Amino acid sequence: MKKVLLFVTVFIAFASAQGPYFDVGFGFGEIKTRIDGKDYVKEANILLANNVNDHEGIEFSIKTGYGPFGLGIGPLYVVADLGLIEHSVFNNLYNDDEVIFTTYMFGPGVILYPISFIQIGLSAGLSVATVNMAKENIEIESDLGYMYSASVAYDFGANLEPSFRELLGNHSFLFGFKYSGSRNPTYSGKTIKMETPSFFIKYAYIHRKKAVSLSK
Amino acid sequence: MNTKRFLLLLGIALAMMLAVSCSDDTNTGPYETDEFYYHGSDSFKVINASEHDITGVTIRTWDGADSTIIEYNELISKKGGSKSLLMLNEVLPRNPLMCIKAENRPKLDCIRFNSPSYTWDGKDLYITRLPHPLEMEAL
Repeated sequence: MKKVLLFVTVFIAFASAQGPYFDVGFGFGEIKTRIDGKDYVKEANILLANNVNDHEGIEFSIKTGYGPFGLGIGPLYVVADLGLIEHSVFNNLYNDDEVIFTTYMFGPGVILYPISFIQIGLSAGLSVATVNMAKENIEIESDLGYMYSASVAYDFGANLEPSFRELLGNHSFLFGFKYSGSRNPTYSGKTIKMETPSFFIKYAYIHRKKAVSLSK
Repeated sequence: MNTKRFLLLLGIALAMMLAVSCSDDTNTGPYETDEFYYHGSDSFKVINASEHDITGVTIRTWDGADSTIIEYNELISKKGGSKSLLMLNEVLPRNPLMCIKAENRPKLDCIRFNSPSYTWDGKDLYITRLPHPLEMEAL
């Protein structure tokens, strides 16, 4: 009991210097979707005489969390990461023939600022993939799998002149590169694997009180 | 005596019923499912295969009588053609699997004929639809 009270007391004292973290944004990149290790677009092109193309993949994510915590390596935020990646493959011969792969991801993560204006994000967790065949109106959902993501971004709000920074407060914009992936088993025994290198832009609300004092 | 004869006839009748039901089971064949059913035709054609790295087509099917798998193989050696690559002028039983062999691919990619991913015009089979990602089979 004493340990619990001590933990709560330390947490409250610790948390008084912290605040919320939130970011939301999207990115674009070239997604690779593999079924049992085989690139679906490549396989479909073999069957359809190179009449298959794919749209640029879309990545979307929301992170909410708390921080910063000082661990000697820069301000660190603990977050919950919710995101999706989507990959559309379409048939040049028929406009209505399209296969859409979507992976929904959720899991815990951390945000780290090794340099005041460079943000590194790491997440890992669970994922569910869906396959939607528009023409046949078929939607298949995979079993639960796992996901991971790593990102590096430039934090525009952290490197502004003091007057601009005062105006923005804790609001900011991020621009960066993200690599995320997922692996999901399906009812048929086949595995859907998606990998997405993407460039993203995000709006972020970052409680910087501790971070500012540490950087000075 | 009449009772024995009755029991003998009854036994024979039961044995015949059992044999018929068993033969029904075997007739389903190794590839038959409710989802995929072959309508029957005397000709198959795979188009445009020579424009990429397809080097052969195999049709695997069940003969419907004794569950034997029949395999039709056709090697494609000519390059540059863009139309007819495989014609099989034989009546094929139901539920064939079509397998496509390409260069540098150790396994065959197979798919059942009446998958919605394929267009069937009553005579030729055209691969014109995106394949179902989870139905492509490697044998």
